[in-house]
Amino acid sequence: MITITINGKKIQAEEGRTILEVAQAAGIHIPTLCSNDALEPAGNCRLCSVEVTQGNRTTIETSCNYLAQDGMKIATDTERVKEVRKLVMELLLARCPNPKKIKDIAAEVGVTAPPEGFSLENEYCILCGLCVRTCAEVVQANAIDFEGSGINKKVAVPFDESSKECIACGSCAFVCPTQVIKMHNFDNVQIVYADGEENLGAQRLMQNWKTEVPIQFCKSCGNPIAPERQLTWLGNKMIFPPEMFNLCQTCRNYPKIDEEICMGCGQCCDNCPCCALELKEEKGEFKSFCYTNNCTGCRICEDVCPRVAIS
Amino acid sequence: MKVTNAKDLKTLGTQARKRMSDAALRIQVGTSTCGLARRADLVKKALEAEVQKQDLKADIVEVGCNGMCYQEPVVDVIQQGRPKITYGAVSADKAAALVTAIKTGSVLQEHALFRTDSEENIIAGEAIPYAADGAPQAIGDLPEYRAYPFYQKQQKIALRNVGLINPESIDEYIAFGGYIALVKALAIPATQVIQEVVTSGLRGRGGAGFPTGTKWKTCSEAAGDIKYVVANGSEGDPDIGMHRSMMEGDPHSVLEGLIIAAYAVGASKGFIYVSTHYPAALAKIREAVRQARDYGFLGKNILGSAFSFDVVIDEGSGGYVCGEETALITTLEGRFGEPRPRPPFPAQKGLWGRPTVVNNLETLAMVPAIIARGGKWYSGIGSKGNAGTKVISLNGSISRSCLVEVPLGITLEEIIAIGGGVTAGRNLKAVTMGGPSGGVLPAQSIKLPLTYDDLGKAGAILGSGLTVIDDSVNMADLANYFLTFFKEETCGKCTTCREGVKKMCELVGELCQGQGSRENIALLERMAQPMIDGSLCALGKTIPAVITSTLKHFAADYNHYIKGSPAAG
Repeated sequence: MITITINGKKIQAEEGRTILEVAQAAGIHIPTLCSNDALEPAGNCRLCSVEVTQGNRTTIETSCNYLAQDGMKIATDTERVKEVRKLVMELLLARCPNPKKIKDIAAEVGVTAPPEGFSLENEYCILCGLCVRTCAEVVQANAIDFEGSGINKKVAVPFDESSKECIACGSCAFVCPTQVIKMHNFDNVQIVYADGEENLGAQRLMQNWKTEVPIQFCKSCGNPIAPERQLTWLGNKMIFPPEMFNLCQTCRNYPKIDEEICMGCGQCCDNCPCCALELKEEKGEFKSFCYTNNCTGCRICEDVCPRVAIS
Repeated sequence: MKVTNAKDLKTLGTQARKRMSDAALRIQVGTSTCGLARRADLVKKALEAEVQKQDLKADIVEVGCNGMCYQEPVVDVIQQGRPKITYGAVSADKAAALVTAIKTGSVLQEHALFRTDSEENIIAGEAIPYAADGAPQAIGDLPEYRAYPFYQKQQKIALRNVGLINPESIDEYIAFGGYIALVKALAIPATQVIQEVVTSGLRGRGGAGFPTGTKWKTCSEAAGDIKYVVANGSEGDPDIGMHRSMMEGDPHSVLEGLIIAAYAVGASKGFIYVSTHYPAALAKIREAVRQARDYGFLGKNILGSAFSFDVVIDEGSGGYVCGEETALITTLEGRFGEPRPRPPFPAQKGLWGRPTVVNNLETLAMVPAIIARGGKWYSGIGSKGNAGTKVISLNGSISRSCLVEVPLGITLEEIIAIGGGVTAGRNLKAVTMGGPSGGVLPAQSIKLPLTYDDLGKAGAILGSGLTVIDDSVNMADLANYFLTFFKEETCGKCTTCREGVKKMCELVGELCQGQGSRENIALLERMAQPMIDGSLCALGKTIPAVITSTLKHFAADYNHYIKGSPAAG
C-alpha cells in the first residue's frame, strides 16, 4: 500500500493504480472524456489533467495514465489545472460546437462558449479514440483506426472502403461520447433498379464505416439475433460450436436439472465456461441452479454430470 | 575478413594509412548533399577526365562536407611531399586549370583557401604531418588550416573525420584511429565504460541535455535480459543538416559509438533511425554496417569477446515529432509515430517494453573519442557542467551558411562571426537556437554563452541549428511561418497541441493579414501556459515559445499589423 495526498487529503491506495483510479475510489471527481474502465488509458483528451508534486517538482500530468506513487501530492483544482481544462474544452467546443456531451462537460469546467477569436468548425468527432481502442482491445476486431496525422487526423476503416474486418457489433457506437458513430438496423434493405428491385433482407449498417452486414435470424422462433459476422466472430473466438449462435437467447436449450438425481457435486458449476451454474442450498441440500442469462447452451454441463441429472 | 584482436586492427590501420600517404596524388571532392547541390559530381567527372588527359595518376575520392557548405564544391589536393591544399567553389570548368596547376606544382590562386600541414587524429591525440619537403613558396603563403578564420574557434570531435576520409571505406576510418575505442571498451567491464562517459560529463545533444552516462546507467541497471540501443538520426528542423553531414561523411563513428553504447548497457540489438529524406546518408550508413559486419565489428562474438550485437537500419518517413524519443520508439515498433507518456522512461521500459537507450547521432559520435582519450580529457573541453563540443548548423541571414563544431561555452556572437556575420547590408534582429521549438532570442542575447543552462534560462534550446534573422523580417510573420510548420508536424494525439496549434496559427495568420486585433494577442498569450501544461510531449510544450518569445521581445512587430495602433504601417 502507498499513501498519496489528493487536495490535502491523505489516501491509502494499492500500488500500480493510476491517479484517476485512486481519486475515483476516494470519491474525488476528475472530469474525463477519453477514459473507460474497460480500456487502457490513452491520455488523448487531456481533460483529466491534475497537478502532481513529487519532491520539489510540480508538473501537470494526465491522471488517467499517470501511476500514483508513494508520497505524491496531487491537486485537482488549482488555477493551473483549471486553465488547462478550460483550454481543452474551449478548443473542443470550437471543433465540435453541437454534441450535447461536449457542451455539458464544457459547462462543468465553466466554459459556455469558445472565445470569440476561435473559428468554429462543425465536427462531431473529438478524436478521443474510445472507438478505436474498444475495437482493438475489447472486440479485438481491429477494424478501425486513426487515419492521417496532425490536424487531418480522423477515425476510419482502411482506405475508407466497406470493411471486411468490421463485424458490425456496434461497440464503437456504444462508447462514442458524441454519438457521431451511427448504427442503423433495417428490416429489409431494398435496392431499386430501373428494371426491378432487389431485396437484401434485414441488414445492419455501420454508417461511418460504410459497412453493411446481414442480420441472422433465430432458427427456432425467427426473431433477429445479431449480425451474421458478429456471430461467426464470436463462434470462432469461443470454444462452442458455431451452431450455438443460431438460436436466440430465449430459444436456446438451457440445461434442465433433475433435482431428484442431482447430488450437488458441483462438477457442472466448475466446468461451466460462462459461470451460469451455481450450487444453491435448498432444504439443507445443495442443488445445481442455472442462470439462463449467462448460459450459451453449450452442453458441457450435460457431458460432465456424473449422474445424468442434466439434460 | 574478421578482425579478432587489437593487433589485427593496428596492422590494418598502419596499412591503410600507408596506402593513403603513398599515393602520389589524392584529390578529394566533397560530395555530400551540399556539394552535390552545386554539382560536385560533375566536378569529379571533369577532374577524372582531365587527370587522364594530362597523363597523371591520381586517386580521386569522394569525401564528406568539411563544414564549408558556402564554398562547395570543395576540392582537396594532397600531393606527395606537399601539404594538403583546399580549394573552394571549384566548378567543373575549372578542372583543367586545377589539374594543370597540380602538374606544374603551382597553386590555383583564385580558388585556393588554405593549406593543411598536418591532420589531427583526435582518437590518438596526435598530429599526422604531411611531408613538406620541396613545397613551393606559393603553398607556404597560403594560410594554415588552424589560422584560417573559419577554423580558428572550431574544435572537431563529432565531425573529426568528416571531409577527411572516404565515408565508404572502413579502412580509411581505421587509419584515423577507428574502432580502437571499441577494442578499448571491450577490454574493460561495461560499468567502467559507463563510468568513463559519466566522468566526461557528456549530455544529450538532441536538445534536452540529459546526462548520457546517467541514461546508460539507468538502462544497464534496469531488469531484463533483452535491451536495445537506438541511434536517433531524425532531423526535422527546417534548414539544418548536421545528422545528414555526419552520416554522409563519417558513418562509422556513429556506428562505433552505438556498438560501445550497446556493450555498456548490455544490449544485443540496435537500431539506426534515418529519415528517407536522406537517401545518400542511408546508402552510406548501410554500406558502413555491411563493412563493419565483414570486419567482425558487428555480429557474434565481436573482436573475440563474449559480446554479440547487430544493428537494423530503420527508414523513417521523417515526421518532426519522430525525433522525440518515445515517438521514435513507437515508429520503430511499426506504429504511427505518436509520443508516449513518461514515466516509464525508455531506459526502463522502451522498445517493445524492454529497456532502451535512445541517443542522438551526435552524442554517439562523441563516444569513441571519449573512450579512446578518457572521460577526463573530454570534460576539460567546453565549460563547467557543459563539457565538450556541439555541432551547429548556421543558416538564415548569414554570410556563409555552414556547419561548425565549437566547444560549449563560446558565445553565440563568436559562432555568428565564424559564419562571417550577418548578410552584408543587414542588421541583426534576432536569432533562433534549436529550431522552431527554441523560440526567438533578441539581438542582445548573442552575448550568451553556448551552454544548456544559459540558453535554457533565456528560453532557447541547445539544439542543432542557429538561424540568424535580420531586420527585414517581421517577427509576427516568422511566428506565422513557424506555427504553420508546427501545424503540419503535430501528430494530433493531444487535444491541446492539435487543436491549439490550429487556432494559434489562425490567430497569428489573421494578424499578419491585417485583420487581427489586440484580442488576438490577448488570446494567444492566454493559450500559451495551458498548452505547455496540457501537452504530452516536447513538441506541444515548445510550440507556445514561438508566441511568447516574439511577443515579449518584438511586440512592435505585432503592433505593426494592428489597425489603429501607432506602429501600424
